[in-house]
Amino acid sequence: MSQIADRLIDDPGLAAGVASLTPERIEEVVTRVLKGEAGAKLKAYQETCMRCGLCAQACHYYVSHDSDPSYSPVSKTTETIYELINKKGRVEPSRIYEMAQIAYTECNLCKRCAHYCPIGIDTGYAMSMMRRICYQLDVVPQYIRDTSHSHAATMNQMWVKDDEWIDSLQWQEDEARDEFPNLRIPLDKEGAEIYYSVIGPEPKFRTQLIYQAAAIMHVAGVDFTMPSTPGWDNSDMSMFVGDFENMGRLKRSHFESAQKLRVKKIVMGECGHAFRSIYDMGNRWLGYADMPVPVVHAVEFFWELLTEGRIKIPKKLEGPVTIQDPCNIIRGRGLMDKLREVTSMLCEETVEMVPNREHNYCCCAGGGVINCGPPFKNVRMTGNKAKADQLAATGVHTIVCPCHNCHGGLDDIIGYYELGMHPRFLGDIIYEIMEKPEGM
Amino acid sequence: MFNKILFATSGTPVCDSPAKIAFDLAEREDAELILFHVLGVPSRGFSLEVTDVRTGDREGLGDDYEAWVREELSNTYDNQLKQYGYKTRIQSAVGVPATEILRLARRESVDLIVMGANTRPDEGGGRHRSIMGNTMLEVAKRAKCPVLIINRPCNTCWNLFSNIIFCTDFSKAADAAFQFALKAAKDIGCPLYIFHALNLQSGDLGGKPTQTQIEASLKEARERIQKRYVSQMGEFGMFEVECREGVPYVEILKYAREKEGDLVVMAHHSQDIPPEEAEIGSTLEEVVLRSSCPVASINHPDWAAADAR
Repeated sequence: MSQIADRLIDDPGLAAGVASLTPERIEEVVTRVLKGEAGAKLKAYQETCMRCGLCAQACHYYVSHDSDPSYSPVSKTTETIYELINKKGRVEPSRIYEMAQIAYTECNLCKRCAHYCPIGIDTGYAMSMMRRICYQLDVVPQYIRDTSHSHAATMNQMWVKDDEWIDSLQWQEDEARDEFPNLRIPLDKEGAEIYYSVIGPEPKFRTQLIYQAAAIMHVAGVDFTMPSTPGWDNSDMSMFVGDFENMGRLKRSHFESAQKLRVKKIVMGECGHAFRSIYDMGNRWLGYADMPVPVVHAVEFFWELLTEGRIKIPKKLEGPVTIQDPCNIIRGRGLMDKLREVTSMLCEETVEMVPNREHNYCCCAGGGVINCGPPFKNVRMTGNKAKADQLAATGVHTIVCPCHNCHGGLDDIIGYYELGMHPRFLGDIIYEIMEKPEGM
Repeated sequence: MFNKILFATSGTPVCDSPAKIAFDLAEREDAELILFHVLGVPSRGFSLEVTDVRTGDREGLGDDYEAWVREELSNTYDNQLKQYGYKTRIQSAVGVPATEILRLARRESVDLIVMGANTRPDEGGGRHRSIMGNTMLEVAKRAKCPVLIINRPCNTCWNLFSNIIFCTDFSKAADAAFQFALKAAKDIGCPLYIFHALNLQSGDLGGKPTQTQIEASLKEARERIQKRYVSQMGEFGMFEVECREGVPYVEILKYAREKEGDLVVMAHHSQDIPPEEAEIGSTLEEVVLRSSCPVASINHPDWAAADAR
């Protein structure tokens, strides 16, 4: 069995944070979080966990590291948050470094283990409370901290300035109008049926996704709008950092920008973690009983468009595909059946990964792990051999992958293990094969 | 004919030949030149560190680093800037190079993008392995303005082009390319060579065509050129029309050499596929890789219309 102490990775954010810690400060913060925020839920988890180890098999890190117990969810919680509870926060600063590395980079908060726990302990929750403590101690990997700072400063993930956002939308509208002369990307249209929201990297790096989404909605005759004001970015790295105050700010501005436009619902692009932040964490932090504006994920939205016949598929995508199940919309939201129905409406043949649906393995990029940046890339690569084996076993080329994080994670895994596969967004496939009436 | 030229450079020696053309062209046209460098591709963690395009090292991103990169760029192009610095702007950005180049081209409404075919340094690099750079492919595919691709040092074209070769596959995009070629030829006052290569490998001619079939097709192509292009040329008389059969890129290169062409103007080998969907045509790709002179890729039908405005 390995030890976290043997596999520490240099990270300026973690190192600088730990350097300024004192045992008193740690104790104070831990006590405050445990008393003020965590409460009975965490205590119940810690007290009822009987260390049976059934969760171990559920974790891709454990499976990928040749069943090393150090990577099992129970071990990771015992070494972090449970230890803080037991010791009442009386630990050395160097121990916090180890705990932070486990919490930020060796757990994707994918909650697969919750499905294997006989009493339903949610390790994802326990780990996010650990991250919350790390954040308050200012011990956060530098990359993800910087991303969270971007959220704080600009209300989006990529330091996109306001005019850049609007300009990117207009640019994509221009491009799309060559193909669809009447296409518009209406900004701030009050009372629109749908508010389409994206994540920060779309205007910055994957601008064609906005084009494609606009094209799909145009062809389907959807009455949609996009906001010109901050709030357009639904992503939320502050949530994964443990900066819940900022998470609340982001979600409030997101929902309020939709309320201001009096839209009927928000449609979210193909992103998983953003969905978690609006239906699970952000809304709860803000004290909303439910989402103040209904939000549907792209998978559900495409399902509606396809089943209502608003998008027609003259010829399905050739060749077999497999399906990646993003944790936040599958385990979190239960979209596994819809995802399969949409895929079967678009693709000729599906070869399922084994296991699949809510038991599918995580991509190892989610939960902010990919956002911890290059220092921790190998953690993700060696930590998800399980996924590589699972992918290779399908023997197909195309992976349907309705999540940005999964995309990044799978891309890296495919490169590292030389699998020669290609993840694709549903929107990308729909745009390619849908019927595009002349002169629309 | 160009008021604003965007020269996209990686700042490495592979961009020296494009740099020469970009500066010469800008000077000749008295155009504003934007020297643009995408200085780093952010990693998946984004924004704190970037991969330096030139060295491949990881660098911390910040104002200092950006200023340093711009400084380095101005050193690299010191000679040219001494001459033409007063109308040159150095700009940098962080991001996916093709996206940032297209974004800037749109924002600045540039008339021409000048770039090399790939970023890799010589030995073992893209050119030697006959690979087109992804950035170039993406830019050439989606740019609304002409893209001038320079893959090798151009010895014949100093300061201006003297023989322009326009190659057509009779697609819509080729019409846009023709408008560009004609305008350039008129503007410079140099001969224009209109060329079509009948693809013997395409199967359009039904397997193994007979000589009669080939000749009939060539005749037909000549007529199409007359109708489609020559009829539009008005008083401009310095042109020649030629049609040959074979493998298109080989014929184009042979013809360009014969005519001492120093600019090849082409569209995607796209036939009727919408320009945005067309992967860069294999013919254009081969021509770019092997041509000793610059190749201008014009794919967007808007070019002529925008120019008229």
